[in-house]
Amino acid sequence: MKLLRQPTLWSMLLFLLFWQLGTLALGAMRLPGPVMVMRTLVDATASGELLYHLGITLARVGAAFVLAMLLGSAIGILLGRRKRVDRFFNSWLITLLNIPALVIIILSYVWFGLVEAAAIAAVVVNKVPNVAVIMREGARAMNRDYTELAQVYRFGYWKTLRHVTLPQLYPYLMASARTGLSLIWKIVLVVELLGRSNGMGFQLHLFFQLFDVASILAYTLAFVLVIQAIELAVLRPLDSAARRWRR
Amino acid sequence: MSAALHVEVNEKRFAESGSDGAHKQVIADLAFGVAAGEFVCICGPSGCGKTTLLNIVAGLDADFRGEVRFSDDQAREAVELGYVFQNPRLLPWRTVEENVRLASPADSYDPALVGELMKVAGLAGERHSYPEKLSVGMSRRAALVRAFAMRPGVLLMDEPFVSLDAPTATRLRRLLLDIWAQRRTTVLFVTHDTHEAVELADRILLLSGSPTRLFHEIPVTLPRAERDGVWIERFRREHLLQHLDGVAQS
Repeated sequence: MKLLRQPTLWSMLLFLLFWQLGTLALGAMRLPGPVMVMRTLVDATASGELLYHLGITLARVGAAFVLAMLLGSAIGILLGRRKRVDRFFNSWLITLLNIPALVIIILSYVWFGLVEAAAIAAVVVNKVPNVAVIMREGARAMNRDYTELAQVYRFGYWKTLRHVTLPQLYPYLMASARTGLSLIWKIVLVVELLGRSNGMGFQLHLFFQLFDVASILAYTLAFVLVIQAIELAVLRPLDSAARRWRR
Repeated sequence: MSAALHVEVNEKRFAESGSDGAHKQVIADLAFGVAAGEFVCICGPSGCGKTTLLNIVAGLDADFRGEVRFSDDQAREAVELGYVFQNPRLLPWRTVEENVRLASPADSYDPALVGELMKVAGLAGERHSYPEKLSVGMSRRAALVRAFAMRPGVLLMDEPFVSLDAPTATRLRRLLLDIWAQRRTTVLFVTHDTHEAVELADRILLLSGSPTRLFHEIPVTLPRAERDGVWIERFRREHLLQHLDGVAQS
């Protein structure tokens, strides 16, 4: 059997075993076992409640992700290409990078009110410096040989962007997309917990007050599955498409 | 359309690394012309600013005193300019054929010509390969095909055959001469190999080292078909070597 030789299968089984042992040790109240969590997951899905909140959260993650990638890339590339601008704004970037996410979220709600735009903005501001730093590195690493080639052979703006600039930035884009996704969805949950009345973060807060650990785990599991699916269905294929030319 | 070329570099300086404000003069009072369709070789000791000179002609380096003019006062933008760099500079994320196509203006891309050039250059089987899979020699050949395929009016070449094995280099020199004979492109060919210069050129410009000046000009008038190894060696001894000593002393 090929399946039995899959290391992933065995590692999953081992994980479930530890989980079950933990349940025995801590009691089903504090750590519900895998079977119970699965049942809760199925029930929550069947009632439509889970999908509703998961959908809301994913929409926020998506919007924040797109905005943060666009803004962060633009800023990072500018800083990487223009040394003087970089020297001027470097300390701003470092400061932004190190302000705790929670502070930005609270300030955003205080200044703009408990509205959707404030929630998204808080997530975007948290993520932008991160993308900018990675993209700045990418812009700095661009090879002048290729820029000169494009200039001599008169590629023009769009051709240069498509065939010379973006392929060089691609690994950096992928890196910031990967770290971006995981950072953003964690922050979105906090934003929801603090100032929204729907989404995963709001639900988790509710379950915490009800001491409903099974639901907390079920929602977490659902989200991990979605993120894994995005990794497998979107990021991996993009990655291997871009690596085609490598030896 | 091949174009004539007039180059005048009165002064070119580089900021010296490590010291603030100090500028090393690399080229001084260098002026020469190239007729339309002429094949000119530029020889000189390594590090004497030959690549800098080509970059100035190509418009990559605008930080110098002097001017570069093309025939009939055409703007550089109106001249189809091909440049074979010292390293092949193929875009690694594009196939060989895409690299060639990207360098040609969209309206003048000629698949038949490219197919022919690929065949002559021995790259017919590698059209859809990525450059990282090619050997150094193949990459250089692909860079040549890229420059020829755009039908340049002026072709700049910066030691394009260096670090190739002798038979490959010979084959590529043949290829270059064939294509040049067909199209009568104006060629500015930088090399430190005087043997190669005598074999290829209509005229050889000898440059002296730092700061670079025009040291001597040597026309080579014998038809290329009659330039065999013995003749090239003799020509080199009689017309070039004496000046090379001078170059070394300057």
